[in-house]
Amino acid sequence: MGILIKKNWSSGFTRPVDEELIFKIADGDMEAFRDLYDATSGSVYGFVLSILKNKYDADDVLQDTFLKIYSNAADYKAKGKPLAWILTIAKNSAYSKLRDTGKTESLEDQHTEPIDFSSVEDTERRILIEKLFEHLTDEEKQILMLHAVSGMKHREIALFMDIPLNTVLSKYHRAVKKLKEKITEE
Amino acid sequence: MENRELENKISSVICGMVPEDSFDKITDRIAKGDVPERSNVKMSNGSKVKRVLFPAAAACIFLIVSVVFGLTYYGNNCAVAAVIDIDVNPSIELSINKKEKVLKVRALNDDGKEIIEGMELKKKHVDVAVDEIVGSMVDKGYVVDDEDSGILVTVKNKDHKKAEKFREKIVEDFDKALCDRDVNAPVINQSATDIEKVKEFAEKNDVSVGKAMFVNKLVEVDETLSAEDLAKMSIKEIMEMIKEKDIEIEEVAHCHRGGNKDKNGKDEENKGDKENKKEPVDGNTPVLPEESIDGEVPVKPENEGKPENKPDITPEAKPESKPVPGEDDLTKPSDKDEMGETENSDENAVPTKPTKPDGNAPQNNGTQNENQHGHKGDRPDTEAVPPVAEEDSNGTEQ
Repeated sequence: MGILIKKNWSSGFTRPVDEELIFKIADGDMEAFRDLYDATSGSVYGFVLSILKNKYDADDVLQDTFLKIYSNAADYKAKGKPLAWILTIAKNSAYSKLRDTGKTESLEDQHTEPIDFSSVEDTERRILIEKLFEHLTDEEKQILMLHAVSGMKHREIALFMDIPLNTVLSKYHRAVKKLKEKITEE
Repeated sequence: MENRELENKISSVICGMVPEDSFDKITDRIAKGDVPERSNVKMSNGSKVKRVLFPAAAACIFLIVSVVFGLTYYGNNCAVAAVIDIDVNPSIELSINKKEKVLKVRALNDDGKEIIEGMELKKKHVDVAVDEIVGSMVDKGYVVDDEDSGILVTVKNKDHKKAEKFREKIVEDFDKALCDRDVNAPVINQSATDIEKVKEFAEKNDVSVGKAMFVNKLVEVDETLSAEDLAKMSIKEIMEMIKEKDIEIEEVAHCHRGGNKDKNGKDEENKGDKENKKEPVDGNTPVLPEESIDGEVPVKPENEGKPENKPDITPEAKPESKPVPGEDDLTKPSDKDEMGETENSDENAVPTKPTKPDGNAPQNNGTQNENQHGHKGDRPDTEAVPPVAEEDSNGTEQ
């Protein structure tokens, strides 16, 4: 039975994401569905936001993702990677959203409206997240989100994103360094 | 700022941004049945390099292991390690693998077919196959309790050492099979590495390669003999002729006399024979099988108790008794004519035609039929056997 450790956003401590929740959802257990949502919604949201760069689209995809989790829970095969399974659904849903909205999969070179982070009350944190979305590449953002929010290890990120581990490590360190520099400049 | 601190801040901001009513919206959609259809979620199984290389490497390893295992298996189980010719009158060919299991059984003549008819010898160990074949030959009267009869066993393998190894093993199997049936019949045995020289002769005369080799070696020892005529004779007839002409069988092939003869009190004699016959194996005798195979004319030992004037087939006698077409070629002029005993020669020179027991039974000489196998007494006596040309007209073969 695979148990993933997810970082808790409020206090920094971690709590397990139990694979058993998915099996319970397959049996129609809504309480388990709620538990799974609480444990993974931040990861899903952060990841799809790094792809879509739009809060409303990210919210839509978040809902789509959990609806797909609900309908596909019975097909889940225990491999000890429930979060990877969830994030795969999220990624597919995000790219599907991009296609639906007529945008290309890569928004790297496109000029997009900056995300409004005014709801983030803490100034330091708001600047941090703004700099993150402003200066990091899509891949750097996704790696940082998967590592910081989802608590995935670099090896797991490499596997999930289908890129070499060294690439993940270098991009991660470059992203952190860049982010620190931008914050310092501020 | 530490990396961990940075990550915690990012995590807290993102988690705080998740719309609070999202879960309610989700449950509402579920309640309304607005649930997407089930779809197959394909997760990444690793990098492209790993996805390609790992299966490729695994396939290569599997292929190598399969090839190695396959070759080993084939070498041990499917490849023919040796071919054994068994000649009495019935001629049978056994192909065996490295594990001495029978891969193929082939009857080389009609009598051979009769012997192996109904037998399931494939995949059986060669000692079991030999036991069944010998048993059938004894039951059908082809192999008799007679020291003057015999079974010719030829082991063919290109590797001389392997051929010799198999030969020694096979002889033991034959010895055991004969002992079990209380039959004393010598097992004349030879190994063959180069069969090309006699292959054509064997095909032309419709005999086994082993018998072809044997009769050709006999002709080398006694040039007055005709290989073609010998090919038509049964092993028993050849053995009787060898005895009458006082030819040492060891000059031609190994001869194992291991029959259990306690009841006849012949143990000592046989033991003596055994010891004598084993000499060729030790290399102390003039002709070893491998030397014979090479076609070299064996050198006879000096005076091994042989009579000075051994009975022989005289060139003069043969044409009278055997009106065989092309006979002039078969009867070779010999300086042994002076030594020839025409009385015996006539009889020996006639290649009797072995046929089936039921009226077509293998033709043994009259003495054998009368003394040992009365049930086969309807077989014609040797004296009554017509010349070869007449026998050929009967359509029997060997």
